[in-house]
Amino acid sequence: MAEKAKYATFYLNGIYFGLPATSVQEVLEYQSVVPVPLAPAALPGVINLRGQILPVMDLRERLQLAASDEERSNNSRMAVIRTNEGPLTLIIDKVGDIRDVDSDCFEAPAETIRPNVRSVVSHLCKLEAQLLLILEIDKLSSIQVTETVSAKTDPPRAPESAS
Amino acid sequence: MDDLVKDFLQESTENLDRLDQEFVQLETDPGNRDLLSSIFRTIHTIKGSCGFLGFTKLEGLTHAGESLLSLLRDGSLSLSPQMADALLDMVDAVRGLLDEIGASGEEGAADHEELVTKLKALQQQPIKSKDVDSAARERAPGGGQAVEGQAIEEQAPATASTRSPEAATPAAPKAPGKKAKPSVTSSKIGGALARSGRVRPEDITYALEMQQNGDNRRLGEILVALGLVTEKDIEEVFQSKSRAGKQEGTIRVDVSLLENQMNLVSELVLLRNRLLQKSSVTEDHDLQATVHGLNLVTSELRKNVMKARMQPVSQLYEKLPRVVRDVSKDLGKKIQLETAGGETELDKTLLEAIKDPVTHILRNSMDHGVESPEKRAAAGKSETGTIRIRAYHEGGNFHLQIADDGNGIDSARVRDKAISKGLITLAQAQKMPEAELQALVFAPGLSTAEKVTSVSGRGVGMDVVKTNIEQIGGRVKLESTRGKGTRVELEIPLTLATIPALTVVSGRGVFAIPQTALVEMLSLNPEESRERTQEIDGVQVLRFRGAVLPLLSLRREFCLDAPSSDDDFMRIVVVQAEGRRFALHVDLIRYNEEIVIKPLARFFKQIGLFSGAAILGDGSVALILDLAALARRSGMTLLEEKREEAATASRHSRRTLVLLSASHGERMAIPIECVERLESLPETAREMSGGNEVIQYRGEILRLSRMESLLDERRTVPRQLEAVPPAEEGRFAAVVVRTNATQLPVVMEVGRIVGIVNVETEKLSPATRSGVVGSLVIQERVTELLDVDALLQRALAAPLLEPEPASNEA
Repeated sequence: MAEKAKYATFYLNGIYFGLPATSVQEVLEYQSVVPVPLAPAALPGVINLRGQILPVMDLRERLQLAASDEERSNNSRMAVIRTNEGPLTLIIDKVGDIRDVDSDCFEAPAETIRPNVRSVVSHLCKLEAQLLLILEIDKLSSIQVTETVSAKTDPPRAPESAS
Repeated sequence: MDDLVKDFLQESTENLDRLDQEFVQLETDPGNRDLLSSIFRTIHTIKGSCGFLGFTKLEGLTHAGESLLSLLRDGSLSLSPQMADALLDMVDAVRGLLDEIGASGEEGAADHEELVTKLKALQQQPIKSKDVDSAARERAPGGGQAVEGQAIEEQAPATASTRSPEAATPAAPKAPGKKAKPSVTSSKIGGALARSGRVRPEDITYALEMQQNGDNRRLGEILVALGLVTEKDIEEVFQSKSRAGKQEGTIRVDVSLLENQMNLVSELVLLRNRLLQKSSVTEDHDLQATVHGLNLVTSELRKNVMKARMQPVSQLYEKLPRVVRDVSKDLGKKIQLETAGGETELDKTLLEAIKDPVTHILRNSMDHGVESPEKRAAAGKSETGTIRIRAYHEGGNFHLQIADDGNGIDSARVRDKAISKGLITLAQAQKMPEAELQALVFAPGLSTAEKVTSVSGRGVGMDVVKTNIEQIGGRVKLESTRGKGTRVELEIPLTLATIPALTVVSGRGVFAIPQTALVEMLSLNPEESRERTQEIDGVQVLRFRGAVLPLLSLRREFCLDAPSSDDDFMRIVVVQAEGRRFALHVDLIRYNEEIVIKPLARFFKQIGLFSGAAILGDGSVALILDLAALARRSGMTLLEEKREEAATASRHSRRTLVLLSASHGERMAIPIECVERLESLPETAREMSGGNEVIQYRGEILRLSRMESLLDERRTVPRQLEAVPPAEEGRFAAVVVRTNATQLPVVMEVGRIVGIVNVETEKLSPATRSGVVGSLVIQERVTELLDVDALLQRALAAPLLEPEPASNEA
């Protein structure tokens, strides 16, 4: 028995992505990100959403896709998704439809997909016109940030041999 | 869980807290019927509810307790210490059962048969209370309970224990089973007057009899006419009755709802601020008036919501008498507790947070502070020690003082202990003022109790108290006089919802520095910045009030873009983290504002430099700096690590050292935390005073000593060699050195200041002469690490003739 499930779709670098519709809290106009110093490039900073401070993920950096020609413009959007770690805001290019997808047409991600993308894609979906890549949210948010406070092993500026 | 059960649990738990206090009070005043009745009612209520909810164990237990209590209340028995213990045990057992029900919904496996048997056995004791004042028996029970607004239960007959729960709640007063005399409480004002103690119950009964016999006057009028009471008395009683009546209008609210409300109001405040900013530039007067109205309402709303979270500190006080009773019994001491300022209010979460620290301080006072009765008697004090707890508001903060009249802190013992535990060195200890020695009780791992008791003495505790209080933005102060007692004072902010902070700008980012960490702000013009900042070997330092502070540039630390500052001023914020001062170079200092702290996502917390985020008045976001982490990241040694180092005799870990060369080229090093300043002084600064070389330095006369003269001569080194020429003609290099152990700094003349290094000091070879800790290889040269404490002691060995009091702050 094929089960139908709803997926919220969007485009990034021309690739068609999908997220379980229930995990998407809302889609926002692009708003400027407050940068967090020393954060990884995939997590450039935070936004203030009605008094909640939400982390922002630059999905393009996260998936290590090439920078697109059109700079992040007014057309960019932000999708607030629910993760195990709390809400997370994804920067995306364009919002697509909500689609009903048959679990029948699910396939394992092909080997040909780049590892960086494949690692966060749970399924491939061959739709009539195009290929839909379903993202796995928990993998997306399981990004490790290395602590920068490690003075004992690596004192930043105390050369011993200079004189 | 069933809502009914939840309500039952909450109500019962609150009641139990009160019970503890009432039992302890009862022990000092065993004949107090009001108290007995109140206790009886509480237990009775629990029994009734759990019978209804089907908790049979709880019912059996409370039933046994209730039976005993009813006998006590009716005067058939009088309270013995065994009874008090058994009843308190019952309260504990009930609490255990309630906790179990709260956790699992079931009563659990705990068996209280023994206690029930004990309670029953106590009921069988011979009646020996014939001498109980019969007037007291007639007094209306439950004086203090009008607050709850429930019907005051009538004097129950001695068989109350056999009554069913339903029978216990009738609101209609019943006449006592004596003659046909009217009851005191059959008249509202009569009951209130009797409870207030203004009129004897017999007199009211007499007046009521007059009414029954046809007197049409009101009870109050009769009493006034009889000269038993004044009109003013009656008025006051009426007023207090109506006050009590007003308090009926309370409802229970979930705390999370209040939290949520507080958050929303904080948001509202921010939105209002933005609106205020926008409307200030508009011409639309209507809009301005509306915004003004909104402004007022928002402020009022915020105040009210904050108020809803405030709780009187008496809630905390309620739990303390039981602690004092149990602990003083354990210790065999006589201790009485006095509390004041119970009405002082504090945010609920904060009140919760200080509960454990306060209990700990109290236990500590009882164990270490108050002496045994014999010792007290020998010292000419009353055998009973007193611990006074006082709460009050001052300077926008909540204060709580816990003072005992015990023996005070034995600073000599604290000192010995601290030395034996390696927290401080002997040399440091000798120079420490009394207050600092006493404050060592807050250091981790220190306990001065001669023996470890169940109460305290394990060396954990006071440091935890300090940490916990500091975590909520509070402070702990300690004052102790030998033989007179000790006073611990907690200072806590009223609310955690917002904190005052300074916002600064660096690059494109806005950062918040909590006000508590702020020391000073500086704006240096180019000339001043050249004068006061120095870069030594890549480490930037700032001269600040006679001290050399590490200077961090936020822009450099955070790898931010080029500066945007439009003038040449250097803006510096001096901060303090974990007892260490350092300076931050920022692009712009904004202003002090109240910020609302928001949690930061895990990703950004893991960076380890930000403790949270804040939404500012204009709606923008600022990151809150974790200053301690920032300092650690830059290789600074903070107080805690310094303590560690002291404990391990500074044998390992990295240290930042100032490298010096003696006048004949030998390399020496001093830990940077002992160096106040590095100076290049003119030869003309040398002066003689009392046979010693001195210099005038920032209004103080400081001893000038050559580094070599402080060290033991080593004959192998030819002293006549003057290998190092002075760096500048007519000037000499000097290091201003100070440690915790000395009050006055000493100016040490050196050959040259070579630089600052951060090195591994683990491979320290043993010292070859005194005044030196050991030697190690730095920059391919053998370098002696100086024992600063020893050097300073030598330098200050002969007192100056004209000592100036030290006014310098470290």
